[in-house]
Amino acid sequence: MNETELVKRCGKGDNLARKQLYERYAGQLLAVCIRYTGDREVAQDILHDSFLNVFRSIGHFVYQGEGSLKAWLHRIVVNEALGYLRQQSVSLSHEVVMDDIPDVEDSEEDDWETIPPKVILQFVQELPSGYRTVFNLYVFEEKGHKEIARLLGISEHSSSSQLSRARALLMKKVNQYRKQMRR
Amino acid sequence: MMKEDKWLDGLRDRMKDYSEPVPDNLWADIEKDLEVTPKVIPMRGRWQMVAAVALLLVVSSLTLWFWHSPAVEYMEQQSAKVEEVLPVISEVTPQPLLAEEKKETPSKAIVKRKASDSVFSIIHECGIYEDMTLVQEEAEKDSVDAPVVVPEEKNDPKEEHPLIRRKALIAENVTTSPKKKSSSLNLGISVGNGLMGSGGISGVSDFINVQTPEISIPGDSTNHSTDNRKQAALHARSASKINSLDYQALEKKHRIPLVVGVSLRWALNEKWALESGLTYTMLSTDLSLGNQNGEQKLHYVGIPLKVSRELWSDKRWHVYAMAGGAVEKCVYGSLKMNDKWNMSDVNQRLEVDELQWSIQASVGAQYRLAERVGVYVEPGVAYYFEDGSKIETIRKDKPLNFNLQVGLRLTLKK
Repeated sequence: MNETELVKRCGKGDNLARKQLYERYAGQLLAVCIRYTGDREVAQDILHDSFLNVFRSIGHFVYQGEGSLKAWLHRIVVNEALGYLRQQSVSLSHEVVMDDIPDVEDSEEDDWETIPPKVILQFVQELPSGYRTVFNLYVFEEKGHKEIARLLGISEHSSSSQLSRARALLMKKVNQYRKQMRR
Repeated sequence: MMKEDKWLDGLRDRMKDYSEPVPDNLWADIEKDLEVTPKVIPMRGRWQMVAAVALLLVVSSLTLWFWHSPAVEYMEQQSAKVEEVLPVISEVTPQPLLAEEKKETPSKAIVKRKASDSVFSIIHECGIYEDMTLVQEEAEKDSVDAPVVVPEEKNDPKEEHPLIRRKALIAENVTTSPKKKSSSLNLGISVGNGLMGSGGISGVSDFINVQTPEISIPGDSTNHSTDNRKQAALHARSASKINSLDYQALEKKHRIPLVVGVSLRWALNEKWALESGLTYTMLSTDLSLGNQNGEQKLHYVGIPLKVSRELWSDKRWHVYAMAGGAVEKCVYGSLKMNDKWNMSDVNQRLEVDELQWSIQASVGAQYRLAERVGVYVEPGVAYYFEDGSKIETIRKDKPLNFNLQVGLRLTLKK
């Protein structure tokens, strides 16, 4: 079934179409949930609620070519995750504690290929909640600091410093991982 | 933003399409919850079908009743009366004339005039004034002709005939001239709305019915005395959905619809006419949920088909009853929402594939401003059938709708 057909049938409540949509995208969307929430169990609940939402409103979705469906699903999931995180909002607005952030050298640029995505996901999960959210919004949703600040109710400065620290932490983990792999 | 940081770009590309294995039971859970939200509409639909049939019966019986109503009977009696009276007059008048043949002309003229006056007055009663001038002319002709006619009448029994013929002509005009009122082709332009259009906030009851057990009603998140914080967070989260359209959960306040139309009316015979045309309807709904506010606008184009029956008319007024239906299609729809955090501004096109059927009945009064122009007022009632779509409009919320239409009617062809 092509995507136009899939969307149309889901809109009409066709259960087979719904299952197909789920099977095509659940994995990717779960990865997104985990990336945001850091917790697999919570991520699964969010995925569940996201899909309920998807099927309730897919009737109004206007398919606009390749990638539009994925983007729409993605957006629903991110919004659900952010909603959850907002409940945990305490950590988002906390100012960053400087001490535990190491200074790291920039590692080689094109080395992501050697690291499995699963590992990368693990690293992102391990980030403190506040950094992780800012990181996700900046890197994956490609939002600017101004927008992130507005969304999360923090200052723009806070957003950019949280991003730098997230970036530094990740880099440290990546370097550690590479050292381990070389042994 | 991302231009400078190749490292992060690399990370993004690596992770973009990554897929995590999903636990087996997750789909089953989702499926289960999907079924818990059954379509509430079928139940209502059944009731609505009953209401629709009832309305149809009421409309048809009203039409039949009007058909046999005293007003119409009176009208018909009058036309019959005129037809009866005229021959009688024509039979009667010659005699006095004959009898008074030896009398002076003025008295004959007077008698004649009297006869034609009574014809005149009956026709006036029936409200066909265009012919009055005609009748008067005829009457005058008669009175003028009287002296001339009389001698003929004396001699020739057939002399009645000219009189009868003339009267018969008048009778003909009487019965056929109603056509002039409900002319053979009329163009109407109208504007209308639903008087019982807006309601309070609808969609709240939908909310209660449709929501899954897990999702709480906004503002009630404190009710959940949940085991752990995670659960509480999840429940509270669903209460503040700000993502793309938890459509059912939105509170909807429907506004009064606006209808504009152009119509063409064909007279089938004296009393009946067929009307069709084009309508444009705009259905607007205010949306809100928690911090979000928005608006849904749907634009419909419709084709009505109605039958009209004249109930009563005179020189200036024309009262009629109409019944029929219409089919409408949404040609454009949009839904806009934004929330306090402007996190997910939704600006989405809505598509409604389903057709909107309706049945309508109304009563109208038209006032004739000029020979070919009339202004009318038409209160009516309409019932909108469930269209089976997911979009909620005032048609779903209040399918029975009282409306008022005002417009202009132009006679194109007599």
